[in-house]
Amino acid sequence: MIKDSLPTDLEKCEDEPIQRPGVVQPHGVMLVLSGEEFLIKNVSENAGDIFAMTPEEMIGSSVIDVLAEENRESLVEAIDWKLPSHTVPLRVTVKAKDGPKDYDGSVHLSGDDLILELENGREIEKRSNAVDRSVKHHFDLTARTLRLISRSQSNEEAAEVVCQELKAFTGYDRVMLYQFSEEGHGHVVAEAREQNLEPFLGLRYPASDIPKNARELYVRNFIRSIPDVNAQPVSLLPEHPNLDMSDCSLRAVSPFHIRYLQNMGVAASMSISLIEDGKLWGLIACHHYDGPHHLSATMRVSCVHFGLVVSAQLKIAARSFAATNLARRKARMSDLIRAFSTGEKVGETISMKQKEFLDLFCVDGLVFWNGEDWHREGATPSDEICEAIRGKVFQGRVQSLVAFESLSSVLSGIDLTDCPVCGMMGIWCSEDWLLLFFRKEFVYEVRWGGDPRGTKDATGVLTPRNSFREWKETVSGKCRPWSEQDHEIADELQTILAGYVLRQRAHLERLNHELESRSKEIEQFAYTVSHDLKSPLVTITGWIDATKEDLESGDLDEVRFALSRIEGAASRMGNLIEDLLDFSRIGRVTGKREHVDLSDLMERLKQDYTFQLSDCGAELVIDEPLGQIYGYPIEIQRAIENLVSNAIRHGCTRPDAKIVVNSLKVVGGRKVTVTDSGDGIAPEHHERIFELFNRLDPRTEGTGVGLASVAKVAQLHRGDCGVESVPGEGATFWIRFGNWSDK
Amino acid sequence: MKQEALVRFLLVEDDDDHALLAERAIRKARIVNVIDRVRDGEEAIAYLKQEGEFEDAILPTVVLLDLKLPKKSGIEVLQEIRDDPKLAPLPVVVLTTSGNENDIAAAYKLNVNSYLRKPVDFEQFHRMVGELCLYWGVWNRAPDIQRDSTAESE
Repeated sequence: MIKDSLPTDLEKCEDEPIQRPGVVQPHGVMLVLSGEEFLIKNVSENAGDIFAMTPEEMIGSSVIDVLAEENRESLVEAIDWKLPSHTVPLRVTVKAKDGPKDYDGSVHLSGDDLILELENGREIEKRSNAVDRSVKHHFDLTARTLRLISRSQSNEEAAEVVCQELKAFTGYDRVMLYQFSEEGHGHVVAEAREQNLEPFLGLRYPASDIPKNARELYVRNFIRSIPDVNAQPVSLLPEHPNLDMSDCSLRAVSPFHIRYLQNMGVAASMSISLIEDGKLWGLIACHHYDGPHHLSATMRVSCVHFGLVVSAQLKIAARSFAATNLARRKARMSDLIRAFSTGEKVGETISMKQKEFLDLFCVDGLVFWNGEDWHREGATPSDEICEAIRGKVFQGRVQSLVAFESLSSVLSGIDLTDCPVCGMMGIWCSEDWLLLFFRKEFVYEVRWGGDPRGTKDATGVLTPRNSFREWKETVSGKCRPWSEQDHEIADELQTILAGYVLRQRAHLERLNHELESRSKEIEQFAYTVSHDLKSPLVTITGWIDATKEDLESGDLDEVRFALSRIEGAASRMGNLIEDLLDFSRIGRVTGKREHVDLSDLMERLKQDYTFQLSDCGAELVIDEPLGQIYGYPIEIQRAIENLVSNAIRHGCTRPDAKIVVNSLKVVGGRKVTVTDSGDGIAPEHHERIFELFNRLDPRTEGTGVGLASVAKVAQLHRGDCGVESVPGEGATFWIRFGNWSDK
Repeated sequence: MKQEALVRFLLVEDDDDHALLAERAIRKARIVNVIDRVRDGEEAIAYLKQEGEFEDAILPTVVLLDLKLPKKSGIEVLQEIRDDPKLAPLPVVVLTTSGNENDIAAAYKLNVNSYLRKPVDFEQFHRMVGELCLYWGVWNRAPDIQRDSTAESE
């Protein structure tokens, strides 16, 4: 019996019991066996074509009666597999009208029943054009294809190799590789076809073309062969509408699908499932147009293996292409990152490298929020929209990565009419850093293999599509999708930026700390200065008051004395203010760093101090060679001059005093020492004398700024200073100038 | 009977002018007094401990101590006075231009008897020293410190 009626609508098609058609394709014979005796329960009506007995005679008898004796053993063996849905191939010898005859057979379990399918492999091979069907040929096919896939440069090229090789092996007119999208639409990514055929490459087929139940069968059976679309299916005797034929290769095809193929002009078809992790990700679909096309059972097994191996290999290749591409993008990313680490501020670097970011993320525009302004590059939305994204999309969530193909989907109520971009991917690193990438709307045409919206016939009933003429659909309102790679790169960038944020925070903390200690320093400085500047003022005011008294009492000698004291105090104050001004200039007003020749410097100083030196009867000895110092010339001179004048003032208390200036290279810079032969300094004063206004002997000249200046110059030159002295044996003052990287 | 100086001052002051002005103010206070002066913290301690060149020094009635001193600060001198059981009861008046809160706090912690800013207005300074002399020298005689016996018998 033949089911001629079509399901009345597409929904019905989903419900169609395609696993239980109750009929088989006529190119083979099917027997349903039960019990240990292998009694024949059902047999396909066409059994008489190959068996000596009629179908009616066969029912109820043991299969041993219709097969050669020796088959029994292999049947028992096959049943011992007892694996449901595991099909065991067999070579079966049939008692035919003209004697024993070999067939390609296979057995599998369906419920409690054993299903035996027989096909005339030799005849099929005779009919088909394929030449060599040996196992060797199968391995050659697989090995060759794998080699070619591994050499290919893209997913498309690899898929095309698969189609070419399979077409050559099977002899179909067209071999296509479909890939399913997340939504289930099929996309022809590769194709091998006869020259005269219309290309299908690039076409899409809607998910509804393959109903859910059919999809399940593709996962269950890795191959599905329809050698003759137009063949009339044959019924079982007796009828067995409930027989689960999921694993039968002879299972008759859904009339709906037959109509579908017929409408496409297909005469024979075969499909091989491409499965990964139990999920159908694609199909290799083979079409034949000018008549039936049979593949023997052996050939089909080869195809199944081919499908399994190729599916895995294509996925591996795809991953490897993706990995290579990712590696390339990551390498560019690392270049950008190097730009970060040399940049003073990450924000500025991002602004500077915006073009490269555009390239790296394949975007049309980007904005960078640095906590104050939006920095832009390329096509970007208005400030208002950016603000909305910041507020609505991120909602203050730090460390989130978001991506949308359509802004309107997340920014309801915001006018996007003039917005030049459509999709966005954003990285939020901190309150200060937000990086948004934008893509313009991607308007593209989808080429469907026929109008995908289902087709109604004249009576309003949905039927399989009659037309497979290319049907174009324009898709808009979205940007190019953000790929897994885009996410991965963005993720990495975010990690890096987050690191910078942390580092920047640490840097800020350090600056705060420095600022704190600096402000303490300033406080101390203000205290010292106010005290020491006030001191002569107190003096002057004091003497003025004394003068008033003395004038009243007419003591003019006292008045004269007071005036001389006032004069002295005023002049001291003047000196103090001048010294302080000089002191405060150290490090604030600096010229360019240069190499300063110490010998030249000392010669000048020697001349400047000739008078003072002879006055205290001291000799200035320069211990050549002194070498050079790299730094600020004026400050270097000031420090060394201060050390020398300090030695003249305090270190020449003995006759034949000697001041020796020396210089030597030390770890981390160059040290200049000034050794005097004075009374020396007690260890407890060694540190204090470098403090501002800290004078050891109030009776000697000086404002107490000189050595403090030396310390400040040392600090400015990344160095330090100090004194070594044993009381009674003179003192050696030293200053170390540090190294500069730009030297 | 030899009249003993009523008030003996030790002025610890590095600034000559301030010392002269202080001496002048003390002189004008019209009280019998002796003023000794040292110029830095180390000298002050040596004087009070009667060491070195100050072996023969006589302990003062009151110490007028400037805070900002060479070699040893006024606070350090004060600390040493308070740490020495013999000197601890000695009245110390801190006399400085500094108005620094930390200095004041440190000085009071060390039980300073009075803390006076050297006023810019000398009239005030004058009166302050006068009152000081009366207060410490007349009304409020310093606790009986065991003085050097030779000095006592002078």
